[in-house]
Amino acid sequence: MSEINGLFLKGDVESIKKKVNGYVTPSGGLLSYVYLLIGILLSAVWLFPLYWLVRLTLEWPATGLLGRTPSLQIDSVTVYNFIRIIYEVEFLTFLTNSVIITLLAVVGTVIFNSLAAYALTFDFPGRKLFMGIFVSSMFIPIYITIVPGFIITRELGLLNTHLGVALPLAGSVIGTLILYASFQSIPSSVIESARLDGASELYILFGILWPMSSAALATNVILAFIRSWNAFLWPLMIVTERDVYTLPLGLANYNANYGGSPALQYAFAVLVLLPVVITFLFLQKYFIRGVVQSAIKE
Amino acid sequence: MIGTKSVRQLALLAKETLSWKTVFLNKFVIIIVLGLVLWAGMVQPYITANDDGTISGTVVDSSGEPVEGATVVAQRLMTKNQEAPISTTTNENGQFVFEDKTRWLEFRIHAEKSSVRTETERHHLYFRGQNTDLTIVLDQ
Repeated sequence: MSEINGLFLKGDVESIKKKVNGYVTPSGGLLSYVYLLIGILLSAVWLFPLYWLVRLTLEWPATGLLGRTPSLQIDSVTVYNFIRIIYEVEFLTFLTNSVIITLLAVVGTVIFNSLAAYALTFDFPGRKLFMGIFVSSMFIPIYITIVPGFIITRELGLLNTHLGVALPLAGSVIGTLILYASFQSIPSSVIESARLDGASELYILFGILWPMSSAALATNVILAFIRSWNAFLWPLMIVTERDVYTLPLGLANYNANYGGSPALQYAFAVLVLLPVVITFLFLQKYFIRGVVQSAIKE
Repeated sequence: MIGTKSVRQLALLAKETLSWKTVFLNKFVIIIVLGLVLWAGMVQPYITANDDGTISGTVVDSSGEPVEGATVVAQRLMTKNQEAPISTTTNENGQFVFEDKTRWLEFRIHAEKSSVRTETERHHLYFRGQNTDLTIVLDQ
């Protein structure tokens, strides 16, 4: 951390910390309004496809991608397309599977990442080499590991099971590094005094480090949630039975069968997307704080 | 290996931090429970009371008078295909009824009498078999 402190004046570090804690004060002047305008324009560019997606799903009778007469406004709002999706596909089954798999993956991610991050805070021979290998594993594309992963899952008898889908998703390098950075920012004197009081290593991790790393943990939860909820390729490899289909698999299957109904396809996509958006809205404060804090610490 | 000391300490930690309040009285659980209560208490009873699959209505002329003996044709629409059309005739009060359409979610309907035919209307229901009452204007 001393290197980072050396790069900034004390005041800079304080202002960054304020931003991290959610207190951003406008600097004033014409430039800030220019930034604001650019921000609004960029947001509009990013949000427009999402608006179009939602607009099509709220329209009935379903039209083509542009509608009979392309228009920005929604003429009549209805939730019928969503209702139709819920009736036409085994939506509740897919939703239940996605929830189970996501829960397993999130809980696994938080526990395994914490254990790995805590281990990395110790000094042991070859630590730097290990860290290098660990970090470089981020550059290995998933497509390379998918066949060995499939063989291992098959040998474990976990094909077409929730655990088989969730297990490879329960852990991530980036999440471990975020937790590692958070653990390292905690003064070692806290850990030492806990050790002197007779606390076990697991108690230090879950009883002392965890409560002091809530932002990093929330970031891990959100990243794991998004990753496992949206996972497509791995479940596609592992799952062949429709009873274990997740929502993205159901969506792909629906798109293959009903390619000519964009409004219904989009309605399904919105239903798949909704839990992620809601979760992010609930946890965004922690997420942003966790990501920033993992990069900037005193 | 996890020693007995670790297990004891973790059990104590779980006992201290996981009270019934923290587990059950958080915003996620409250929202889910409220949603389920709303569904079970209001939505589901309404659906159960109104899902006989009765599509009824009245055929009237442009002055609002009932049209007797008009043929009403309805056809269930599905995403990829459609069922064969069914028809019925209005009574002296201009009323018609299709019963037991418990699987219907979307349909089109029109009325005709002595070579005069209404525009085909397309309707959707909010749940399968929702009872619906329509008014069709047959401009004779």
